[in-house]
Amino acid sequence: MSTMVLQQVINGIVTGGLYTLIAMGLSQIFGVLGISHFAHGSVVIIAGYLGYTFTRVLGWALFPSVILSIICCTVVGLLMERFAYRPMMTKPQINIFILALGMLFIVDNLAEMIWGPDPLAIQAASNVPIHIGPAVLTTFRLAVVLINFAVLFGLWGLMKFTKLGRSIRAMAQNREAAKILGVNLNQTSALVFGIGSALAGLCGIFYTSMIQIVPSSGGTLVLKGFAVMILVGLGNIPGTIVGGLIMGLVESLGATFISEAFKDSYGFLVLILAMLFKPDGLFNRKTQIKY
Amino acid sequence: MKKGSMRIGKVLLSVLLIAVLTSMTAACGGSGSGSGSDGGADADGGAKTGTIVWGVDDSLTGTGAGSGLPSYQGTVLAVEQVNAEGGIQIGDTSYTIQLKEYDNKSDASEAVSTLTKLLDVDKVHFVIGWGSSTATLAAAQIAMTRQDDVTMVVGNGRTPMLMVYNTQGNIFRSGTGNVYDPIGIVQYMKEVGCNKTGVIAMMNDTAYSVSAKQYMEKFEECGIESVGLENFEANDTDFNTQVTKLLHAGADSILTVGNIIESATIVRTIREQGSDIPIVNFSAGTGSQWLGVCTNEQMNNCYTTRPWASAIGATDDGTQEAYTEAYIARWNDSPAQADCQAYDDVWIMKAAYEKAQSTDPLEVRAAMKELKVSDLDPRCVDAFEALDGDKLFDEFNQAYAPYQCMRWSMEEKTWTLAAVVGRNLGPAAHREYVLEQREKEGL
Repeated sequence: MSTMVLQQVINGIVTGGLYTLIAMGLSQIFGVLGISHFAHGSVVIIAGYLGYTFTRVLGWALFPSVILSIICCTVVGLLMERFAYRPMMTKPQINIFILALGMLFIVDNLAEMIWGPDPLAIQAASNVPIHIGPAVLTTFRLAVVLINFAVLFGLWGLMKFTKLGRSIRAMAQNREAAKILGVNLNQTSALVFGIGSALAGLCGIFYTSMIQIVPSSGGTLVLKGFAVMILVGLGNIPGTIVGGLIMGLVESLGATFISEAFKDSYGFLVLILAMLFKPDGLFNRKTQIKY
Repeated sequence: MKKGSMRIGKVLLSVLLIAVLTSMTAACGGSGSGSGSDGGADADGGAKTGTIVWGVDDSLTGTGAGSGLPSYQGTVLAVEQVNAEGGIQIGDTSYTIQLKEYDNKSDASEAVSTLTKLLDVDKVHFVIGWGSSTATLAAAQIAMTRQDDVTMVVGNGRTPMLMVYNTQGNIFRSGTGNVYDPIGIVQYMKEVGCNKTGVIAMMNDTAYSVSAKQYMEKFEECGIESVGLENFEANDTDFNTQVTKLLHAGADSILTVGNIIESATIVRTIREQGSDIPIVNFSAGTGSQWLGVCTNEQMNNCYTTRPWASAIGATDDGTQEAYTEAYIARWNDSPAQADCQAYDDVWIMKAAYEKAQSTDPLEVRAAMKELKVSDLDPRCVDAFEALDGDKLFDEFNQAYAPYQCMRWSMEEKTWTLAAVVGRNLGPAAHREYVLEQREKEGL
């Protein structure tokens, strides 16, 4: 029993890492621009489908395919920011919310038209099982965990020690004050979108390699990303890592000990409970950006 | 000058349009008769020709497309072959087969709608295809209430309940009902080293859940211990939880009962958890479908069982090789079970029309009921069992063929024939099941 629990914990940590990646981008974008960027899920599936096309259809090597997919996602994110969200920034929030949802649905339908409704997968290179005590993890899954931590550590450093990080934090705390202090709002917004979309691209590649992608995957993942973001509180990078892991573990253990059929519900149940007792998030005293 | 050339252009366009419409009208002939066919003498007064229209209702998209698409391709291949050789011969008239095709999207309500359209709008009387069970079973409910209007000829829609509901006798099935799958197959599982087996099944699908339960019932009889049953749904993509539970429950083998893509993902998950135990899959499909999800290495020690289908070396007469070659040439993909059954259905239909020497739907149906295995074209892929009097169909309009056990070949990167099981087991087991279920349902 304890061996099985250990294995499920490892499964949950790996899945939770994916939730962390998507939540991180969402958190940055919401923090800086106040946008509920549901189309972030679209960016995830674009990465997955492009990765699939490059590696499986065109037969390219995995590494350049991944890099190219992430670059494409970054460009898509920048285009969304520049041509969809920026013109809408002065409009009511509900307009932006519907716009984001609309983009998610459009990309979902386009993906189904182009790649079909069936699940597609990228075959991860050198993906062999390795034993960690009684539990098993593939080399690819281990790499995903390590890359996640490295990327998030890098992001934490960027936010904490660079001028761009200070600009982002300034914008998140007070947009007008940041402008007065010389922060280029448009440029910073674009960079936040670019970074967030690159993280979403990485998440899409990992998801398609470890699990499989279907057109509706984007919607499911972005909801979980939002759940993590709300669970831990806005813009808290270490908190987001923990939140993603909580979500992954709750799902994995819930499916093991309660029922696999309700796997997607367990994380949201925890979110609701957390909101009842810590409305500002598990790790925030009040809603603010923390690094 | 510009106006003048525009006018000439319009006139030319009108002439062209009239010519196209005229030729289309001529090509289509008159409106179809009540028999879903029409015919007449050739322009030169020679041999008469005509057209027979059949409906094709299949799962071209959706969760059943893994079976429905090959099924459709098998149908088209056979129809092309029949038409290329002059069509169906009735008296001195050669009838060309024309297909009216609909995609039921693997959805029950859509299948009801497409069958109704075929009957009421397209006025066809024979509907073939039916590659997946869910859609087929739903459409059968309509067919049962309109027994004078339609004959369903089913291929791979193998749910055992189909023949339970076929009380009006207007549904025929060449694919073996999956009620007796477990009898020989579980014995084969024992042979390949399954002693403690975990089952992962798509339990929200009637056909799969019935099969999974039947397998588990047979485990005990064959000395296999069942270590657990885990559930999944169509389009699930993450099976880590279920696989972890079964492996840690001590399974030395896994049986998957569900759609091909999901089953392939389960295989991949088992291998990624470091296990190389034998995996027996209920769904067969083509090699390329499995390699779309798994690597060749992950497929090592995998097995599948399926109703009789094209398999190189399965017979000595070259039938299997010829079919495989024709299918690959036409579709650039290797054949599976669903396409073979649909392919055979076309030849069964042809034999029935020629036996009836009529295009009257009820006469053709009656002739189909009396078909003998020896009436069939030798190109039929299935090794049909000759029932009493050499008949093809039993009292429930079910044909029988043995099962093939396939092993994954690392060299050929596809399934290869390993054993044939279940010969002669089908009729008695199926009969018992249908009668028992009919009694339960008061039919």
